Amino acid sequence: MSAEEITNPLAVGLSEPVLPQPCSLVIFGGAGDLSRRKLLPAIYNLGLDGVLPANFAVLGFSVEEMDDAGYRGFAWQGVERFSRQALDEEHWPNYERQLFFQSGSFDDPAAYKALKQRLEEIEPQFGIPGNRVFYLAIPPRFIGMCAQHLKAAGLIQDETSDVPFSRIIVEKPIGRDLQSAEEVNEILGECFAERQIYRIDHYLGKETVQNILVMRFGNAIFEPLWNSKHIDHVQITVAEAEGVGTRAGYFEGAGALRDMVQNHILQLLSLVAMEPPWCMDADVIRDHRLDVLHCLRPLNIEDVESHVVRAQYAHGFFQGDDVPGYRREEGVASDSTTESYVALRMFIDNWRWAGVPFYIRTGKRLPKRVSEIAVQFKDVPNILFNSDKQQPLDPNVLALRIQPDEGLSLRIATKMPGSRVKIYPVKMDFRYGSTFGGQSPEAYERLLLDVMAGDATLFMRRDAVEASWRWIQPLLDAWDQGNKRWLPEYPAGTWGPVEADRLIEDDGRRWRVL
Amino acid sequence: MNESSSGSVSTSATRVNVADIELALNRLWDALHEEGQAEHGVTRACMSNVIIACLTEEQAHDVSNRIPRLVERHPARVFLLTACAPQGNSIEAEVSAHCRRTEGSKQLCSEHVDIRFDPAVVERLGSVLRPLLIGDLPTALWWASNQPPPLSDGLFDTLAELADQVIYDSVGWPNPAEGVRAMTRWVMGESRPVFNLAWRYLKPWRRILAQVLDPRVAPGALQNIDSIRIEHGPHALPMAWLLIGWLAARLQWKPQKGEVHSGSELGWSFQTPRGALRVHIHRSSEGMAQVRKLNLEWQGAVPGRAGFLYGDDHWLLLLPEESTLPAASIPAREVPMEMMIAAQLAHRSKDPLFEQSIAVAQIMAGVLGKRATR
Repeated sequence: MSAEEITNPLAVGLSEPVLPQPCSLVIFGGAGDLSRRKLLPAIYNLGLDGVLPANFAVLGFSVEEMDDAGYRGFAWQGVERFSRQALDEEHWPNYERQLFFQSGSFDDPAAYKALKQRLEEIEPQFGIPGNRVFYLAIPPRFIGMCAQHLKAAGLIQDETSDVPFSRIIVEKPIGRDLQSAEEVNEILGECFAERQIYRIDHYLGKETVQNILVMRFGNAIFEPLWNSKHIDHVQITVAEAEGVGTRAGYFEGAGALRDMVQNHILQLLSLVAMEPPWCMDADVIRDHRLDVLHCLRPLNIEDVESHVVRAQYAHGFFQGDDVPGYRREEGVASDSTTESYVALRMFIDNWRWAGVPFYIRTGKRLPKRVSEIAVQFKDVPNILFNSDKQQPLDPNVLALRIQPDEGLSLRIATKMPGSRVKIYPVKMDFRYGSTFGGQSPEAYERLLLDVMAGDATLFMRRDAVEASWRWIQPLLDAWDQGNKRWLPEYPAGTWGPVEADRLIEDDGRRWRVL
Repeated sequence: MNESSSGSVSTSATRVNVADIELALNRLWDALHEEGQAEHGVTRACMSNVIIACLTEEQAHDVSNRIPRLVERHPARVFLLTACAPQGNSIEAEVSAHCRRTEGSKQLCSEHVDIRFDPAVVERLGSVLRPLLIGDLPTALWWASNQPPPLSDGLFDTLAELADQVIYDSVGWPNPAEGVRAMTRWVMGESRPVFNLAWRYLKPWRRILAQVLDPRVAPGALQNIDSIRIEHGPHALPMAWLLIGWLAARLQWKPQKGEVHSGSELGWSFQTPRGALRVHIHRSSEGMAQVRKLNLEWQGAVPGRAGFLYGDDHWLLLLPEESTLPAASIPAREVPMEMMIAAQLAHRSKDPLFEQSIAVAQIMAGVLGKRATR
């Protein structure tokens, strides 16, 4: 039983795992794109679903000049366009009365004093006992500075204080390499205790990602097979159909490895590969995920050439239209060597996964937007139904689709009707949307609620962030030292470069066609 | 086929002999499959068998309209049983299917079996239903009648025997006190999960009370409550009763005495760990079947009071003018019955909190005496 349940007997049994506590949510970058597209709609949906705390307010904080009314209009646009549930004009007045805006520069100490004063005005109106969640929806370079100013302005409660509490949510990326990640974490650690810091990776808030643990540990049939004895290999694909678009400024300095692999994909991999946790406590689950990162076989500089492929998209077609190559995109240097695609072969050196390759690929301008984890089981012996070497049976594949069409499928061999034994692979498909109907909450909804409730299970701990950078760093170093002026290319709208095909085909395997 | 605005499609109902229901369902699948050949065929999603019991044609008509949306959320093989006087045989059946168009024009369907029966043959219904239940799936009984289930002359027992889970709704019971007593006795002897939809309707109330009276927001309030007054709409006494049962179970209040003041007034005295508590429940003559208003007061180091209102706009409000606490509100949107059932079907374990609450409600009924109220 959690501390909250002990102190509040009425909170027991309500559907939220832990009751979200009354609080103010301060959104740094409140007038930005993330706020408009994701955060404000998420708050709107939580309110509509009746799961927000009854005492709650949002204060957007940003450099833009805007008053409360302007911010409510800004929120209206975001909700109207991006909300999971349609804008309900009856509900709107209750939502917007909780929205406020404070203009100020992130580097101006006076702005933080004004922010504090504004919060002290708002909170009594809503019966909020000084609990504050600071959401840093801002470029990574501002994270340290904002944390320091928050502390200097006296906006952060002592770490031992449960009421009022202060929590901070930090968006990825945390740093751009191991050293910078350590620096950011160091500054955050000077201002906040680790238990107050919520490093968000919205992938972990997705329904299907959470279902990985349920599928593995809630069903007796998978876990006995979940090891090197039965699994041939695992493929993780995070494909985007879009090009670099308006994110060129950020992406040029990051690339697919930093943007996707270091965070989302390594988190997915650790969920797939982790040992069974002994309880659902946040730190127990995070410890088990971290163990996987510790077991990743390090790649030294020589290995990088044979285990990693990076590439850029070239001119091609998207839905029948011409699209430019990466280097021709607006905001991208014409001699850029930033990878828009990366494929890796990885190994987890522990008892369970010894010798099982994990093939990872992610890229932009691939044929479609799809994220999937596919577990391919070993072939059945070459006898009986699999004795024809010219036409071997398709192996069983368990595919967990993360987006779109969240669900899972299992490919099995089955006999076709008729007098002859003819075997055909059949895919058994389970789709969340089709089976359960309705809409699942967006990842940000779940994660915001978790922060208000103080549940850090789906957030990244400092040691995990640094462990993933520690594994990534030799790749970055090797690429820096290689000093290449040209990367392999793949036509936009295709599944990646031939070099990536060779990476997996050399092992006698193939990428899945999704 | 009839297509609804949400894109779900229902086939017309086909009348069949009781012995041929399974065969008719198979034929239905074959027909749908042939229709879908040009596209991607038909797949079935099925999470449960759902048996729905209605005691009148009117109830059955209402429920029937809700089934397509219910199975959209919770795909199931549905049996709608209606007690009536069939024209020919004592048990008659019709089958149909509800389908949903999904990506790639695939269809996902649920089967719907309508069974109309003469109440005189209740004991035969088990033999009709048992072979039709899909194995490996849980079976739920939704008691859609406003008659308290144990007072239904054997129908409930016959159907409940087939079910792994029972869902009923105490709102609208004609004699709530008698219903609470009978149902509570039945529930307490059950090992299967049993749910009262009234418990679901109370969720926003439970949520706002838990949040507003949280010891970190209102220190000492919960332990020192000494007076509660509840106002409810017609037919909602069981909800008010259950709400008090929940508070009493959570806060360790012991019912001491109950009184029926008039046809619309009830009162209880409780012993709390800190002293005595008076509860007064008043039924208003009109309005929604809801707990409409709740006022409570507490003593202790920081005495205070809180007044809550269930507004016509379906928001639960803490009224500042009747409270010493700051304003707060949460939405309490009306959820269609079928959505509630769909949500409840997913809860397949017993709810100890609900059971503790009705256990107290049972004691409250015991100390109330025999006079009933609506």
